[in-house]
Amino acid sequence: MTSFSDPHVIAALVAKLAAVSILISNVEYLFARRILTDGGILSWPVASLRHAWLISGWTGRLLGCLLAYPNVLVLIGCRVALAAFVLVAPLSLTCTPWILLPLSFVTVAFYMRSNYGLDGADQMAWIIVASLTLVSVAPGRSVIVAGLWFIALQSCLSYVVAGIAKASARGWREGTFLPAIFQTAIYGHRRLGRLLSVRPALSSMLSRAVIAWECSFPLVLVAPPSVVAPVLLMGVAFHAVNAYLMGLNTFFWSFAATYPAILYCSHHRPW
Amino acid sequence: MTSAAILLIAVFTLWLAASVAVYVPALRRPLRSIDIFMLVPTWKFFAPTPGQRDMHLLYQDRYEDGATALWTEVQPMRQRPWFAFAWNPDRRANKGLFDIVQELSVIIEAGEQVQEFTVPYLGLLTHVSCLPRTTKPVATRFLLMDSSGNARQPDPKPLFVSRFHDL
Repeated sequence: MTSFSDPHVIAALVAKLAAVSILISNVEYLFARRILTDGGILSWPVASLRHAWLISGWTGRLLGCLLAYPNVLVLIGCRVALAAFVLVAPLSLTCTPWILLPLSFVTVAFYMRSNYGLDGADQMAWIIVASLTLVSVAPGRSVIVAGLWFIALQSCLSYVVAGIAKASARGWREGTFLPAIFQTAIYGHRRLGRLLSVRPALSSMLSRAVIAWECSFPLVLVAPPSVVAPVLLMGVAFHAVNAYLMGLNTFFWSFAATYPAILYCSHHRPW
Repeated sequence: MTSAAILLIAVFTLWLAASVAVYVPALRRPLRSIDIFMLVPTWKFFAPTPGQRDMHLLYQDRYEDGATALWTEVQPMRQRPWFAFAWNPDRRANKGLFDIVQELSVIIEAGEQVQEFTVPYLGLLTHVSCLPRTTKPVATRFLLMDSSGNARQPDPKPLFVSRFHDL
């Protein structure tokens, strides 16, 4: 109990869970490295045309050197090694600037390469790494607590924004979008897609349940502490189901990484 | 509290404010233009309108004698393996292609003329031009199609055909 009320331990747990997401994601990139070649779908010579500063001047030379294929594989290798260190390091060494600063550097450099192929899991993992990097350079208790609140609020923002956006769309409210998504090859699950398309009432109920859960998620920060754990367990189940049904494997780790911060903040409210 | 702590707490506050402000339509573009490190997220999670159709990229080669090959699909979608909940390397290529086609189809659906010097157009052209082939073509073109697993919708639907580009 004592260790779970220590913000240093919570920050380390957040970092370790985010590291799993980064590790899986980057090993996947190494495995699918063909897409990073000059003729691949994430070609640097093409993606660098987005902005003049990506191809000209000292920034262009530096980024060209780091991000061109096959050099980019070294960058990804560094992300794998640094994330692996964060994952296996003792709690006291997890949030050290000597690891998190280089991890932030290689992460942002890689994300500058192309804005195609990235998803919400990458975004959340990056926010966690960047915020914990800031925390690591001045690791006083107040800064760590501020960092945990920041991560918890970003997590709540992500759910509530998605919930409100879904609630504003008729297809989500009526449940017609759900079977359509599940019938695609990219994020689908054919059997569930077929089931939902012939059971519109079930689809509508599931859709509304997701909207209600996402919109009410920020209440974890004000709800009685006894309610928080069940809501977070629902979140774990939600992302586990999405990983299985939609192949969103790293979302599970990136968003679960924010839950220790939420749990801490909900038990240590300043009011 | 040290001055470094006060500064960092101020940074977190500003960062969070920017993360909320990005949803104000008038502030989105200026915030995006200064956010070169991609620190301000845009959370969507398939909302408000999710992708409900699969995107397909096909190419057709033209040979020296003027003959054309049949359309060939690039990287056809495969059924996800059972272990994709843990390990899913295919999603990077699929999502990358999806994002490029999505960007180009927004231009197409808006009825604007597709600019051949845009990043998504050049990305697709470069990709189909660099694919390994057994017979060397003199020109190639690409076709974007979308399809749905839903039998009630006409499937598949062509979205855009590029002109032939010399190789």
